[in-house]
Amino acid sequence: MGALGHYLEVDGLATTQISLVREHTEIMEPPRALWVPFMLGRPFGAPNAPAFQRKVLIAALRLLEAERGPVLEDFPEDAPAGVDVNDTEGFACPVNLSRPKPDPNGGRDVTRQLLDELAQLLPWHDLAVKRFGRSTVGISGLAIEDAVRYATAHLGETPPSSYDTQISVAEALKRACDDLKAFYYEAAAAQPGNPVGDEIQKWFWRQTTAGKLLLDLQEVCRKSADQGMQMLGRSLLVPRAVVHTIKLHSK
Amino acid sequence: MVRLADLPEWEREHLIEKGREAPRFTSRPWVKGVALGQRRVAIVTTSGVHRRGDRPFSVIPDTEYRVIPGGTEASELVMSHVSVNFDRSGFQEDVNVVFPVDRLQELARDAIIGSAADFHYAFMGAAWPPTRFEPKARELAGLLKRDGVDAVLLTPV
Repeated sequence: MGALGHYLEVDGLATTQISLVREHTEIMEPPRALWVPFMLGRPFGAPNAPAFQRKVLIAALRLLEAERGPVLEDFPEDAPAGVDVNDTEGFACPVNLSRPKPDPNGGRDVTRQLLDELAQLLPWHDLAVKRFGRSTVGISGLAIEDAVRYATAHLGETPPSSYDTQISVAEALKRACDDLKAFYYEAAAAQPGNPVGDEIQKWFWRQTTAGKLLLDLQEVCRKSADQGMQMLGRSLLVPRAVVHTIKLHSK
Repeated sequence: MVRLADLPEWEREHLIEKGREAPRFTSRPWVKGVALGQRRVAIVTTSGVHRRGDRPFSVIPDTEYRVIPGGTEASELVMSHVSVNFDRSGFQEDVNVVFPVDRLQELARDAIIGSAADFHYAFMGAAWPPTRFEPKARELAGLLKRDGVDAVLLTPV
């Protein structure tokens, strides 16, 4: 982000930017930056908070009026909370999802259990689409059930090739997994209690079959001879926060 | 984001390492301009947002961008950023938490800015080091100027 600001300014365009990692912005010193104390993934603070987003946007744009730079200002407010921060119970999905036992015969049983899980979440996903006016599922171009089948097929002894000849098998698996995760996250977000990112993340990785599938696929990818698949296994399927939590719990 | 000092050690170390690798620029370019109320503003995001029919960003990060016409409906926007290490639930509920195009249009209607650009642009910010973006940034500068843009809002994810 800082580099883009530098190059655009060199070419005669005034820039202002949001900074999420203040220490990086201090190093790169772009012309104008507003540091915000919001979680990664939310540079304008909170969804469905137009007045707050507007305030952040105006604060960033006002930096264009500075006489000289570089300018690095701090936005003074935290993002509005989406849930009662005193609620120590956090989000508990009321849909009863139980993880499958390990399947010694390949991926088929996992597929069935995942499709069952998906069916249980479908009414919530339908509600999410209605409430948010859209869904971000669909990067793979597959129906969500087919994305499940494609992903679980990688657990079998003979992993499938890419479902699209234009993209690599790693790219195909990544898109199918991203769609699956987006489906679950959207379904969870529509449920009572207005769960936020961290709560949904914990639920997805600790309680769902889909989360378990992605953890299993991470291992499959790590052992693959394909370099793209190895990349998925290293860092592109499971968040660092989840990897470290698992490490802590296994000690 | 919270300060690095407030993060768990493993995450702090990762980000400190990124900071060590970040480029140090020797020049300090600074472009002056007209008052904010007369500016034409474009958004350039590194969030990997794009229209549903566009080619998704690749698992092998490059510096290509996607074009987002100003009138694009929120329902048409998806995200294919390769990283799994940031929250997406906010974007799933409301595009504007990442790509504040509705807010920008409101500021234009309220005459806080002069106008919103006809075209906005999205990169996937995973390419490293960031100096790789120089050729595409310079290409973009030309395109933005042809759109009459004189102020760019850069937004990460």
